[in-house]
Amino acid sequence: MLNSILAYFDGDVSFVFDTSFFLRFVFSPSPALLKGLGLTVAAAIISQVLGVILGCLLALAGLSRFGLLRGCNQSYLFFFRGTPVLVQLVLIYYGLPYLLGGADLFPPRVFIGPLWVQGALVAGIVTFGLHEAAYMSEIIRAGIQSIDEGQSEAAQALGMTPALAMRRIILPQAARVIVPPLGNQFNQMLKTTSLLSVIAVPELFRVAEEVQSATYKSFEVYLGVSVYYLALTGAWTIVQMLIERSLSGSRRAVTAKTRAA
Amino acid sequence: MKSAARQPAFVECDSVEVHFGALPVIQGVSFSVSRGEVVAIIGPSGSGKTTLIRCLNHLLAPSAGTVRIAGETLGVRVGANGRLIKLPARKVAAQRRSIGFVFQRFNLFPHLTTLQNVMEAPVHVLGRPKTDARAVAEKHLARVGLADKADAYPRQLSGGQQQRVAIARALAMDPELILFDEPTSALDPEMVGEVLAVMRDLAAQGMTMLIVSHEMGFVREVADRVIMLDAGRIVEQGPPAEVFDRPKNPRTQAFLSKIL
Ligand SMILES: Nc1ncnc2c1ncn2[C@@H]1O[C@H](COP(=O)(O)OP(=O)(O)O)[C@@H](O)[C@H]1O
Ligand SMILES: [Mg+2]
Repeated sequence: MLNSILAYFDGDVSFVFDTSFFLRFVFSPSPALLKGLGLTVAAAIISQVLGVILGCLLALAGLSRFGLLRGCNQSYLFFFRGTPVLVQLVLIYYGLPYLLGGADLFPPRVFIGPLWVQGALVAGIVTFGLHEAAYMSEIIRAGIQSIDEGQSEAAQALGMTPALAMRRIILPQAARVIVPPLGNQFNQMLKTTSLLSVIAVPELFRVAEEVQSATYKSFEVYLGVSVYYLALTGAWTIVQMLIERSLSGSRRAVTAKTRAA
Repeated sequence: MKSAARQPAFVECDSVEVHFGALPVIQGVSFSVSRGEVVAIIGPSGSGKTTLIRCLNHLLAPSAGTVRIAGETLGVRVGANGRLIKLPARKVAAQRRSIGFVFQRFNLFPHLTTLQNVMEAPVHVLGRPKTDARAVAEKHLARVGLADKADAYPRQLSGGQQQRVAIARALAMDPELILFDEPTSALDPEMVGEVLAVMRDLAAQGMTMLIVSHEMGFVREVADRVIMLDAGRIVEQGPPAEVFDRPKNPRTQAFLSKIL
């Protein structure tokens, strides 16, 4: 069935969809592919965390009363939102060591904590984190600005410093506004990590490409790797739904209690 | 509390001016308040009452003039050459600890329960142990008649209850002075009484209070002195009986005839 649908003829070269190869690729993946999957997830999570932390700092700079800090925020956004992330990746991976006088910034193996990590992966995570920070900063800034001015005034009237008011009063409320768009950003991040393939990081897509060049089963491999990405983003969508439901769920429980009271 | 007026000034507002851009909103306002005194600020809408009372805990920095509380100037210190130097945010925050502020729109923290709202500042600003802060918070919630609402969230409370929690939240910091900016004007009429009752109780216990209010019956009963503000200037002040019954200034007369 699948064969007849997917088969097509191009001149005298015949192409037949290799169903059993495809099913094997998807359902009994090689250890390399599984490792690639793990690398994709790890890179996405670490990049996103980095993006959120840097994004917080950038958002605070953007909300600062000091023009210089707001200017820094503006230029940062101008660059990181105005250039493709792929270009940023090669700029940082190839360009940064060059700028630093040929320093071996991203060697094949670097020792981080208890792990040996590929330098290119570090460059990738740094790039994605920096890129993500630009978008997260706008999301966080909008979240903070959505909180009523009276909240920070009440906090300050109680003797809180602006920093304490931000941490204890504003950010916990802004978090509810920030979570849904943050979820969408992470969905994108899962897919953006495929760009690591251009600097030879053996993540999911890079491993798939290697299988493709060894077997020439292009369509089977690319369709198979799509299934993997769909599984990742699909699983994340479910997690996202649960998180958002628990946020609105606690609100529902509260309203129910009000009625009972 | 009338005798308290003879004690040295506790709040001293000296030639305070506030401009928003070119717009002068407070124009050279000076007055003082003694410990234990209850002073009401009245005046037409837009006369600058909110702006003035926000200067008294430095939520707003005056464009000129100074506010001193217990002898300490808010927000600035005098430098070597006599120029005023802004205090860092940390110092200003410390000055505000002993000044309570009750807002027109309550401004309770919606992500915290009633009890947590009242405990928040004692724990995180004063560094009190949680168990102590909880006991104090429960005491103040009981004082405003809301002991049974400790675990409720602000959105589960009526406006009057929210404002009483806001007063308990201010009291938990053990303030020497409480500022009220139209504490009952966002309330449905049937809830005004419960909030005024709490404030009347505070006044009776000797709390120093500055109250912006249009509740003239309450002001007449509780205030030691009334300050009439118009277009950013004090046009008249005195005991409520005098100001309400024999207003000297034509603007006070016009305002009172509209509101009474
Ligand atoms: N942040 C601000 N920026 C510009 N104008 C303001 C601001 N706050 C208040 N005003 C103006 O100052 C005047 C006095 O306001 P306000 O102190 O709120 O008066 P009241 O509390 O007596 O009604 C009004 O004309 C108001 O429009
Ligand atoms: Mg007002």
